Amino acid sequence: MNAVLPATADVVVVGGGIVGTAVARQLARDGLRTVLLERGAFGGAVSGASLACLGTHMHNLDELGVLVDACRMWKELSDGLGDPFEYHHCGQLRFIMREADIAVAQRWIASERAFGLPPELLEPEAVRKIEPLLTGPIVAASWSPGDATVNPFLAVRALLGDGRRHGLTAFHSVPVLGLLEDGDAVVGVRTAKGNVSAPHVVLAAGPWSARLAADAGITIPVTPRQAQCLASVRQPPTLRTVIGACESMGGVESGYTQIQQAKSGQILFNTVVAPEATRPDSENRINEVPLRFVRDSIRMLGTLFPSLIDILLLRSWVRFEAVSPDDRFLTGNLVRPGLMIAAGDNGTGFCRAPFMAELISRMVRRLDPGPFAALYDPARFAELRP
Amino acid sequence: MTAAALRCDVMVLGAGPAGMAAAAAARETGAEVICVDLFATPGGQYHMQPPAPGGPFGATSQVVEGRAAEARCRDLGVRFLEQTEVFWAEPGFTLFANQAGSPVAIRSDAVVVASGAMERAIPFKGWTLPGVMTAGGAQRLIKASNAAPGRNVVLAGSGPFLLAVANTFGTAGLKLDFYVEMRRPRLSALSLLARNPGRLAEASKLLLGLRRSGARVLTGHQVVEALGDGRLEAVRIAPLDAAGRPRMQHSYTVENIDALCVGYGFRPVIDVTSLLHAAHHFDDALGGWVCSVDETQATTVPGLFAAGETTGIGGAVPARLGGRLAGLHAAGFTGRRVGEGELVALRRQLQGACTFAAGLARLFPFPGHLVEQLGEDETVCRCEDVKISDIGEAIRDGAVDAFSVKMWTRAGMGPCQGRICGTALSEIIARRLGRKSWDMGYNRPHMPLRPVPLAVAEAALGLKAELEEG
Amino acid sequence: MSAQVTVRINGEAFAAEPGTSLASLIHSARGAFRRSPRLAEPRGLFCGMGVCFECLVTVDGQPARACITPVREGMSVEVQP
Repeated sequence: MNAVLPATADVVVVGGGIVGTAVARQLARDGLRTVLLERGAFGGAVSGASLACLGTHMHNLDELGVLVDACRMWKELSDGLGDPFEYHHCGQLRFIMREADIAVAQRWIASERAFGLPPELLEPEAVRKIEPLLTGPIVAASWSPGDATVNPFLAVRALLGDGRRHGLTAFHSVPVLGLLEDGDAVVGVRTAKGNVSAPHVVLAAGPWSARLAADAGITIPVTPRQAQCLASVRQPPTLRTVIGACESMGGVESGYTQIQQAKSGQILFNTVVAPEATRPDSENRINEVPLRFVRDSIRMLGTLFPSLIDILLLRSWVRFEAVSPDDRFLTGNLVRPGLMIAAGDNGTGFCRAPFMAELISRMVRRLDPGPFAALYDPARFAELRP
Repeated sequence: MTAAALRCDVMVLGAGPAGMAAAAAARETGAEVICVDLFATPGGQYHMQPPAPGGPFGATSQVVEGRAAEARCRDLGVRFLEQTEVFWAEPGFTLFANQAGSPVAIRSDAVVVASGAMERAIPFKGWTLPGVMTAGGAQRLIKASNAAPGRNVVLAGSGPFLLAVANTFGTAGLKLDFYVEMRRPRLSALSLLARNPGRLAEASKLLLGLRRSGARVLTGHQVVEALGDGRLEAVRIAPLDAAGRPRMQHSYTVENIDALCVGYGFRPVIDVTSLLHAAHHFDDALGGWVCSVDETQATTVPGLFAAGETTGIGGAVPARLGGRLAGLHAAGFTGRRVGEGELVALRRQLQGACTFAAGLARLFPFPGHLVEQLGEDETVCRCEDVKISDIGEAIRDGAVDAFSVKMWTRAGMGPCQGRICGTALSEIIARRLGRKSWDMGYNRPHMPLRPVPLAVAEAALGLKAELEEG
Repeated sequence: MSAQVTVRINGEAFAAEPGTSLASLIHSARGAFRRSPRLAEPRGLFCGMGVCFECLVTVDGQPARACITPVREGMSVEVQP
């Protein structure tokens, strides 16, 4: 495919994952001439590797308003685009294996209920009514009925398609080599296929946004963190919900766990007990999953779902999440005029993507970005004050 | 589930002609040798054994030589692990395997990869109907299970292997109705045989066997469609024009066919060599992506050797020679003494055998163009029911290579891990993007190399600690 | 010829020659091994060497490729109807 890049645009978005694609689509729909540049394949990095759970349960409490909005946006997207990405309203269970963690779960539930959300704590018997094969030694589980999952690949594809229908021009296989500068301002991007001048450049390249920011003399506190996942051969309908570990402060016995059955029938699962040290220059070249991770994940799945211990393992993959010091996105103006950022998924970014897209678009159009913008303002970090 | 943590000097993957030659050679030097294979009996494809002694294949040279090779290995003290499938490998080397539901981990100083070849499958209209199988699958039914592929059989495709399968029918006394070879006989075939008179007898025997099978022989023809409702019932055959394209207006249907056995050639199995980062190169005549080796059968990874089809499709003769070389050098790598004189002779013989194999391969270039005949509704990925139209849509939406097509269509995400559809996908995507098929990337191996039960995977990986002690 | 073994496929008993593959038995007895995931098309033996997974069936409760599984006395096989 011969990429003939436009010489100018209103906005250039760098990075074609779920965040970049959502941002670019929103900008296009809001009437801005937008160019999206992806260095590889759309959704081919962390987005495609994500378990794409949309929910409000056991995330940063100060983001609850955002998450409620984001979940609603996802439902509207699914309905509006004709259910193109396997939106599955499945609910989420967070299992508890230690008595001490029940109180932790109750605190989360209380905070979320105070916000008007419906999670509840269930006894094992009630859990098994929802998820019959969860016969492992759990003492309780929280239940968040509103949670949903989507197919991450198809979500990127659908947003990209909708963006294009509204005038978005998007290019794959075009790495952005650097930023164009005019004095203090950033005025476009440099690629091997030509330059694109634009008064606004949005870095939505996950952890690799740091490299481009560095090009502009800015050090952003976003680093890559390796995460991984396993998948089985497709199974008949077996799991009905998303199953995660109760977010316990400190104790890591159950580790970070997430298990779900995709529409394809494949069971996707991962348990991380001790996170891998990730080199700051980690690339999205496919690395091998650590063997300890494979064993921990299989053991956890087998502990919770003993009947699944003999199913066939089929695939594994590695993804690089973009981690920030306070576990939140950096979304907004990035120090220099013309430069913006929407990065820092912290492993839970998929859900927030449409919200970040809305934020960026409002800022570009100089509209009031709303009460939550401050949460994500990059300038909350001292080194990023203009 | 009985776990086994084993150690050896030389581990051989595959118990076909190359593997058994390598195992015996290494063992002769005194090295401890473990040879693993997927099937219950050593032999690989070439030496596959009948279910019981005797029978129509009991006295064939392939079976007799295979038994002898196995016996020699056992007498020397080679340890065979049958029904064993490697699902992961680490440098240095530790290999993890599934032995019929039991976990195995093997630590070895050197590895010889002789895992053979797999079908280089190309889809065609109706190819997913029950009753349509590969030529190799048909051969295994007949030789190893005394079973007939069907009552009325068409054998089709291209290549010397087709001739061997036709002979299999004849030897078994099974009726073969049609033999449909895409290429026409050419003078270059005769000149190849003239340059290799030692092969003349074999060639004559095979052609005679084809005649005796009673099949109607069609050259310059192609099966263009398998027809039937829920299972194979008929086959459509077309003559090919000078450019090799089917002349559909002259095609005709053969009714009452219940088995269609198709083969267009093979491609090397390169999971383990790829995983361990050995260098590979693309050689379309020799099967596609092929593991690169030097004159010692060494890959670019120290201690990792390869032989047989892994280094290029060539048949049993180069496999045995290359296997022996690989086994000797692998033993040499672990410190055993190996006689230089024999190595020189082996290399010379191998070179001659490879030259013949390459010449033979050139007579039957791989028909990648067959993907152009696929209509929008044809299935490309059997595991996931992905059609040409799905792939076309993905490319239109911005998929750029096999990986991105896979993401959006699920092609290659099924249990065969892209092995069956991979060739076709590369050809299709390359043609649509105006690029070369070898440029589309080959399936990067991930954990697990082959599907493996969770419990077995967990237990096998856990054996690593045991191997590390002491 | 040694004594045949009995294999049950979906509860029905079949005689099989020892040393032969389960795939050859299913191929001869019924032809189809499974249904494809999206289109529910019947699928039969294809590669015969453990690569394509078209012959994946359940043997004594575990998933198994019939083509690499030798028949065994008392084997109980579930095949998708």
